[in-house]
Amino acid sequence: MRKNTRNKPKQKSIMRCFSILFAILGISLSMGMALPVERSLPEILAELARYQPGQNDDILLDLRQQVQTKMSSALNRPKCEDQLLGFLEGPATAEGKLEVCRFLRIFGSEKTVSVMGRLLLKEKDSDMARYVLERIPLESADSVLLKGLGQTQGNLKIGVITSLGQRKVTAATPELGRLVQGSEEYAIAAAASLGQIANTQAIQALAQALNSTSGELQIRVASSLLMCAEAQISLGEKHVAHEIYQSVFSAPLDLNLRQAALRGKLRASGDHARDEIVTLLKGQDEKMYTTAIALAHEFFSASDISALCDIFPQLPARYKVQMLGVLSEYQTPATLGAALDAVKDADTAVRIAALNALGYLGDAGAVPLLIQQAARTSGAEKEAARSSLWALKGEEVNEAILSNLPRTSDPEQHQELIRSIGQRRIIAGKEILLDTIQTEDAPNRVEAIRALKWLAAPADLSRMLDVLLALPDSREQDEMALAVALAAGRIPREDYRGDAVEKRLEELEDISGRSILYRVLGKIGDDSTLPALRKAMAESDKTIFDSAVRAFAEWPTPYAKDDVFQIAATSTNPTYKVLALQAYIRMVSLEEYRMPEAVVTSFKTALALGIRTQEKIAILSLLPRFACEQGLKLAETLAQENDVQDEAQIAIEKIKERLEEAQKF
Amino acid sequence: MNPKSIKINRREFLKTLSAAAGVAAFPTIVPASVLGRSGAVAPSNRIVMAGIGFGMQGIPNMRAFLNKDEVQWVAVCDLDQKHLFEARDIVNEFYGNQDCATYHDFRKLCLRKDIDAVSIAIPDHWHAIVSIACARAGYDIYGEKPLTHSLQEGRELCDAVKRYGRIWQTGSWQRSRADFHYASQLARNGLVGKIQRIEVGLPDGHTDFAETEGEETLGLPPSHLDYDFWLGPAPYAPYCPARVHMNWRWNMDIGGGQFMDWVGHHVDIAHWGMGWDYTGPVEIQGTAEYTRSGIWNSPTRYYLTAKYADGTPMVIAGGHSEIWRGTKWIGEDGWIWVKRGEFMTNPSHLKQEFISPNQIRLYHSRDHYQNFLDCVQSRRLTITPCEVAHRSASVGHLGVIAMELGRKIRFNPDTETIIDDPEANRLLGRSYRSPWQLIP
Repeated sequence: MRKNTRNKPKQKSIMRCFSILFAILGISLSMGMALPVERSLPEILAELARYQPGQNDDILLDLRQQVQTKMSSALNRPKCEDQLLGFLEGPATAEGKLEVCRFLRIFGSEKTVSVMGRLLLKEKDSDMARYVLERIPLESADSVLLKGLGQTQGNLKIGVITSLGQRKVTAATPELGRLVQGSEEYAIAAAASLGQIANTQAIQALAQALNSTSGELQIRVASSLLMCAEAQISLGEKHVAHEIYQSVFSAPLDLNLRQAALRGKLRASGDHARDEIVTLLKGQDEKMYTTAIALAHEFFSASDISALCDIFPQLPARYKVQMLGVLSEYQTPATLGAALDAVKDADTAVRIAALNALGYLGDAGAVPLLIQQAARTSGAEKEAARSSLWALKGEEVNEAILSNLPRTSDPEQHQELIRSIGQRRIIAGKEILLDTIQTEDAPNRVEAIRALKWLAAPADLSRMLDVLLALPDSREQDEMALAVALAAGRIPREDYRGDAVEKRLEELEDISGRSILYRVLGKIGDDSTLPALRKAMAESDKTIFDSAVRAFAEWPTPYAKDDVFQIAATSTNPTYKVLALQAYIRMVSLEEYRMPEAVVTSFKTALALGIRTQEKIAILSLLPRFACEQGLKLAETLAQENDVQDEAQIAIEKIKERLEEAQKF
Repeated sequence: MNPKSIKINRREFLKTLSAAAGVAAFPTIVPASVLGRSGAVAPSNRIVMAGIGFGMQGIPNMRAFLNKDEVQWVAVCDLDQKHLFEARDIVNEFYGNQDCATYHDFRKLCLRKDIDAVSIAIPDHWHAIVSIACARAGYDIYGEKPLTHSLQEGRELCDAVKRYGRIWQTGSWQRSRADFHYASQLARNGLVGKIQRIEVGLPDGHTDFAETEGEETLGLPPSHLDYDFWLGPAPYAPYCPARVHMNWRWNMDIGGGQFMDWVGHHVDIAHWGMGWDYTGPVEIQGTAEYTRSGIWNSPTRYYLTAKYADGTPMVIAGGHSEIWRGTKWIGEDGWIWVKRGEFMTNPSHLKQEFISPNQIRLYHSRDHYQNFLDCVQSRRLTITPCEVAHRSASVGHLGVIAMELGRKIRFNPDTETIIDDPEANRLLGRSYRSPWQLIP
């Protein structure tokens, strides 16, 4: 259980401030008392000297306010700094001093550096002093730290070494160079700092250490050398960097470090990097292949990527996969050719990578191949072919898909083409889809209906209804009814969405056609068409009645709640009863704006109709969303029933949790 | 013998792979299923993982990875024995054995050569040190947001990930959710016209996750927690329950409050929708309110305005009801608003717009954890790589500085320095308590 310590709403806060202010003012004046006066910095510091976290924390906000005000004035700043420094050298808790140091690290001047130099040597204050010194951009801070290096031991010395590195104090390099050759206690820290300083002397010291150290220290030395090389690259000294990288690459180090060195070596090679990558990929050191491939995009342009395409067929499968990722960033005939060849590779992963690459590299010319692969492969390969077909860029791709349709005799390819019309939202293909739905070819009909769902617009409704009413198969009718509902759902005004269907109902006398249209109304869920559906319930024809019941059961809004309840309460048909009850429970749960107690009462009403276990479970799963005492009691009652005991216990726990949570807020 | 026929095993293969850091494109991510994950995956072909930090998000992250067929979890590491053993028991129960190794010190864990990837969920002040150590050890990393505790650390971490060629996924999982992805695509493709302003609403106050609010009496830490190690690089502070587990986020030496916690979600999404993944603001200013507690000293209510190079402002606020929670792009022709569980547009039909192949389609991932594992295999960038996370966290770091100083700061996102304000520049980094050091 958690709670949030929030600020009260702004308005309330302001009101409260005024009330408190007036109350203080009134009491003060009536008692002849003085108003609270803002404390001076010395007063604040006097209290801060006793500061312990969690004890007198209010002092910190006063300190912040005072120091920020004074430091923002050039006139007050020196005096304020003096007061803070005086505090540091006096008796105060470590926690109090730290709070003062937070400001000195921002505002501290030469005076601060001098005081920090003294504190740096004290066991208890040294970290705090570095906390300030490290951030002050004055040369004197470098000098103080450098001096401290010779005067400290143990963790204090390691701290000073760290700060010298952070500040990149070049004057520290000779001493750090000596330390890196000495005891491991300081050598690791010194190596890291030399890596940050990264000047010529630092590089020399680290290069020497690389050959004379081993184990963990050698790893640290090597990684510092990598940093030095990066610094040299940023200075434009690529040849120096290359030498450093070469020394690390050749050293007997972990593979990861050698790979990092290779990476750097290639980056430092400039124009030679391309040749080096090609050489590496032709060589036998397979452990370096992926490093080379991963960096290829940094050095190869569209004009020279063919060099990698030439090597590509000889690579082992796993590297082909990686290489295809690189090649797919270059839209050239050579890369397209490599990907097209790789579609025929013996290795599945390579074929999939190639199909994926075609999504980036291909154009309209790739359509036939992708269609073919999507039709004849399965699993991830099929998925890759499809997603690439759907992702190909260019208007001519859509034209290619449409023009391929009449030329394709293979039924599965035909279906893939139809599917891609929907997935790519090819508006120009809508007529083809509507025509296909009216052909004798059942598989294509279904695929075309599915594709139409993505494309159908309100303007198509009339024609779609014609097509729907002419469909012979009930499964296809269901699919088409959904397509009609989706098209109607694209009408911005919700109360217009059912108009086309309602109008058609008025015109139509055929029973089976009308029953289909009532089902469509249920999927659209335009509440303004509910009277038409209620009228259908009164009709004597059983088919119409059946459609109307099912339409109510599907209705997506809670406005049909009373209708479905009526069906559940009065129907003697067990199927209708169950459908209506399920719909009722769903609709009740949609009314989240109602009081939880009212929702629970509705659930109780459903239970009173004698419902099945499944519906009881549905109610129990919804109860915690409407947590209240009545809901809890209902869950406890259901916990007595054998068929839903477990579900009821879970509901009880969740309701209790929510009630407790609500109490905390 | 054909030189290409030299065989290396899969473990070596993963170790030899290197990331293509900095690549903006991300084609050809072959699903892990193709590379070996298809139901039963042989142990020798699995991605070997370990976890560091199990006090809060570490457990759910680990459970998500445990449920992936291609993962073999071998070790857990935590400074609190209770968390450590809880995590170990979950792993052992999952596999029905007693094989999960335990580590107190992440440096010891990093000596293991058999680990491919780690999931790190530790307090912010440790993010950079531990993550860089793992990158140096050759581990790919799933790390929690915010990326680091300071802007300079963020740059160091990005450099290290690039240096060691590691795959990085940030726990900014909203990118792998359909509604955030779709909303960002709408904004990116100009469906509401040119974006005039972005509003990012974040939580305010302090959430008392561990129910330790007010438990500020100083005392000895419990024997199961190595408190001094836990404090690590942060300035020394005496122990009290309110400072540690789950509520450390409210102390600015350890975490960054609600603001820093959430910039990695909603500012990250705002950046995504604007194409600002690899840049940052040029100006930021703001105000904050603080509580009276010295331990929970992060801002409880705040309002910042960041301006980007093209002049577009982004308002980031917590505790200001006029700024809706989540991310809202306001354009010339309407707006798009998305938060967890809610997605609205004006005009409303935008929610049905189709992003065609000829428009900008953003990186798509349906499962944040799976995306990480797929990229570990393919060596492609994840959906939230290190640099991207650094850029959203940078907005937070700069915001904290602006709030601390109470003035507008100007920033150069290329050099990552604050312009003409030496005092503000001092706050871009943090110094560490000895003997802790950011070792490259």
